[in-house]
Amino acid sequence: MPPVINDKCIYCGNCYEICPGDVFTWSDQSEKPTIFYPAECWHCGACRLECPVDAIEYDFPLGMTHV
Amino acid sequence: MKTHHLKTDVVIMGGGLAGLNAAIAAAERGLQVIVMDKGKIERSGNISGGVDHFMAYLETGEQWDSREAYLRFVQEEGYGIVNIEIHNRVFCDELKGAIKRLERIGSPLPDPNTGAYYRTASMGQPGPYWINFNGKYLKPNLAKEVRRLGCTVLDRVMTTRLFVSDRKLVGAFGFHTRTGEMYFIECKALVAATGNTNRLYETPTRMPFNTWLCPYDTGDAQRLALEGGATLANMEFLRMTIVPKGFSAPGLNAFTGMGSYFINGLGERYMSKYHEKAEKAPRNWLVWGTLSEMKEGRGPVFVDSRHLPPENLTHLKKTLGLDKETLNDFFKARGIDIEKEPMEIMVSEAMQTGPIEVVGSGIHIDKNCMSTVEGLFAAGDCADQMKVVHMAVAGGYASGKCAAEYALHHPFGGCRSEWVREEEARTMAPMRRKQGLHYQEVEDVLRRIMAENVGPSRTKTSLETAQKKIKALAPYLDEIKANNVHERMRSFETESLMKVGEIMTHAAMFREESRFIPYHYREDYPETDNKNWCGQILIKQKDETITTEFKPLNYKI
Repeated sequence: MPPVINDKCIYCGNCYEICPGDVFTWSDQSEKPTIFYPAECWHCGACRLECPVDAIEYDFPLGMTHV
Repeated sequence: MKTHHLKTDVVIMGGGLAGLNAAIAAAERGLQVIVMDKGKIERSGNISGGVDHFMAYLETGEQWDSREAYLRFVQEEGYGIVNIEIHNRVFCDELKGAIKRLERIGSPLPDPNTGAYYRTASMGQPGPYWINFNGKYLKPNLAKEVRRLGCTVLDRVMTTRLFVSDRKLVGAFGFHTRTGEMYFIECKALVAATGNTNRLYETPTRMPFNTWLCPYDTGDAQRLALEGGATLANMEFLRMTIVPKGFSAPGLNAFTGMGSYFINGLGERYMSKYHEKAEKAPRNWLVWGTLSEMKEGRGPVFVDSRHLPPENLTHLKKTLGLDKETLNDFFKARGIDIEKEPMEIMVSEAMQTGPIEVVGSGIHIDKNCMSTVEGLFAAGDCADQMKVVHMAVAGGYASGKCAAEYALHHPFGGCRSEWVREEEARTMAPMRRKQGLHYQEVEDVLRRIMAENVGPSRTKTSLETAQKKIKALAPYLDEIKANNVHERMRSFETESLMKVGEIMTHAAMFREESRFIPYHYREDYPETDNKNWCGQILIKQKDETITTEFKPLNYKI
């Protein structure tokens, strides 16, 4: 359901900083942030808008694409 | 966990569109301002990912394009619950300033390529009141201005209590939703601006956060204001809209504004059966017509844009992406091409909010945006006379001006130290429990009770059933276990949702008529009764008991 962070990620943490639902965690700054609360994502796109390297993609579940 | 003690002239609770405009107004008048928001103000609230429309009259000389014509439209559309005097003051008086402010901060309403306004009509408007614009960076631009003006911004701090002494607001309390650090703030005035209540009903996809409007807006200000002694109004109404099948996303007025058709499973345009303006009817009629088609076996339903001229289709596609950043990704994933085939649509989940674009619900305000508690102001979707983008920008600024004026002439009130200790204990209680329920378990039951009993079809019996079930569910709030501060934020939201559900049920029971069908449709009182019910239902709470009263509204024309 939530955004997916691809390999272009440069570990800047913008997505973690900006998310209005606070669905990311980012404990190790040498790694990608991770989606910790996927069910709480609103698909607002704020993380992608703030990503400097196009590392955010969206993956919609079947419950949205096939109903 | 540390508690910070702060003191300021004005607190803004909620840094969404209304809150940031309020902060700018107060800071421009030289006051000290603190903004508290559950998210980060650059991207928080209902327009986190952008917005594409703003409602306004522009005084071009056309008959429909004047203040008077606009107010007539507002009165007609909001008949029975809209207060025209407040609308005139908090929106019309502020509109020109709002348009200039948007231009100054870098999110202008005119199209930068042509310098002209791109205007469309829908939702029952007598002329094209919608201005399509690129609001993708509206929030970051406003946030930049708020920080430039020297406001103290407490990002990720959720407000959990409003302190009131002798019916005057004296302070607020909150906690940081990542660190758990707490904030006790003494202030002279506070503007509540936390939006509507969007996570209160089951969603069609059974994903509670797949909501049309921001799922993190959970009625926190309405609950805290009520607990502080303020009066709420227009709380009986729900609101639903039409969304793409599978994705509760905004975009409806882009389709209807450009001239798209609604068609049923038989391929027939159906809206003209329900309203003379067909697809350009007010939103509640679009929902009513669509629900009726489905109920009577003529589903599924679609929005058809194939007949639109190429330039309108291009504009439509561009606009949809501005209103919901991820909508075009969704279309791609679902294989939707609106140029080639009709797109399946559905009726969204319900939410508690003002029923139409020009009337809100929530904290009952006067023409100075003040609630019935002195020093407590409200703006945006949590105020009973404000609604959507245009009023958040104009009315938000009005509320900040009024709060600043009040703060200039009133001293600090008396905050008591025991309040801080009480609030520290209350805030952290769900994290100290060794075991307990997950917040979602309680919330899911609440959503189901609301959907089954307080939805687009209500009766005395269904509302009584909801009251009993909410009463039986409420004690389980004290059994929720939060594993960290993030979950504590969510469980606090669950508490707010429960309170809003309870209030809404009370108000819906009291209003023995139907209005804005199906947003308040009492099957046992199916007619709109302007003789007896032209007015607002006011809600108060004393010692845990909710009371209701009727406040009549009189219209001159």
